[in-house]
Amino acid sequence: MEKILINIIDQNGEKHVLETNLDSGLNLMEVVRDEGFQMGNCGGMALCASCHCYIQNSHDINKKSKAEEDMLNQLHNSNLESRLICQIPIKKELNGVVLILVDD
Amino acid sequence: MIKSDIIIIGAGPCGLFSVFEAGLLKMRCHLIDSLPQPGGQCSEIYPKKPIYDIPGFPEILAGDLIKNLMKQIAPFNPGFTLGERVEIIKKQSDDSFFVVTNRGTEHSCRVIVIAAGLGCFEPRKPMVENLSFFEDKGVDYIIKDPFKFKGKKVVVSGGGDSALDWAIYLADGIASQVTLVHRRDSFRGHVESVEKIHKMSNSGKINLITNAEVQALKGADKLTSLTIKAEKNNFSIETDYWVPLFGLTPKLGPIANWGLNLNKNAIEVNTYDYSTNIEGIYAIGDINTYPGKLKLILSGFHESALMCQSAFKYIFPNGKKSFKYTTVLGGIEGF
Repeated sequence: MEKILINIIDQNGEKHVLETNLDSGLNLMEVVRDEGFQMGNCGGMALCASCHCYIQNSHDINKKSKAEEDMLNQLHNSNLESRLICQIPIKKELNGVVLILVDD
Repeated sequence: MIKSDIIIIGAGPCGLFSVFEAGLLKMRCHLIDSLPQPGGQCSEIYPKKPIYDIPGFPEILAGDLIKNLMKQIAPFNPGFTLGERVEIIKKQSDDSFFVVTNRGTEHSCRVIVIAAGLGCFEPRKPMVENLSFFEDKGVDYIIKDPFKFKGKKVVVSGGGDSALDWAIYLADGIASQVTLVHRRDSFRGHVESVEKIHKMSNSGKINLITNAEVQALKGADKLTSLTIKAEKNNFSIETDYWVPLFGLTPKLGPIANWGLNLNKNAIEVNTYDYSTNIEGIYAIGDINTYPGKLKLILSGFHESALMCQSAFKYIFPNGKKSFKYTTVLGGIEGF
């Protein structure tokens, strides 16, 4: 089974590395939440921003939907690297991605 | 001192339904929630989103589910303390509980039910220097009483429904001056609200500043002005209040200090009756955890029914209760 690696830098600056199956059918938020990180309050509808992360070059992975863009625009701490990771499905291109979890 | 049989912490769907189940057993409930309205996440995060797994409702909007629950529990006349967060829980010598909120409201009850979902909704606070100094001295994150802004200068920040709705409301004859500051030039709110904001801006009723954010707060002992960082320049604006509305996020908060057994921010319960490690305190809905837990509203409803049976036995150890279907009862007899 093909796997990818996901790097997480948590709110304390600590680094974590997760390995996940490519065919899980999950999105990035669900994978990170299943590891015990608190996020995904709205279940993955881009409505709560609890999965707000900074990711470099995330547009290479997938484009933001209008709903995601709108939610990010509402936050006080969003920037060009901001993503709601519930909107990013697990796929090969994510291998080695670095997620910086944003402190609310 | 507000007295009730059961205090329910959290007025989301599971908390509300507990009023019904408790009411059938003649137990009076009082709900406390940090949000200013009942409904929890259903009202705050996704009121207009459809839910498809409520038994008997092929599709129902989250907001409508809350309206229906409010109607269903109305005969049992529950009390509400909204916009307040439970801070202290103390067990008294007679086994009752003494409960105090962050606003100092005192309650007494025999049983506590924690139905707090993901925790207390707390405002997202912007990263601005000296912010905490100005809290309650000109900075408000939640508007509980809009008339405190009567005749005052108010700056609202944010681009969602909450920011738009309050800016519109306050500019309509309450505040003397309303300024809306948003980081972008597009808004996330309802189309009608966005249109109204632009109309009010054009007519001079609202001072609209987009592509800008509040950078600094000034004032000796209370807020008197804000520095706004805009695209081309920074400028200062005089104000009595700043209301940053960047959404709410749930935090476990004081629940962590009550001596309950926790597992990854959830309260461990016995699935026999959803009791916690403290006798007289139960936890239902998304806030609890047990092997096989499914975070679904319908699971919380089930937990609520079993919890109330146990709470009745706890409150009335010698009380006689016979289980009857509501259909057999021929109607709901309220208080």
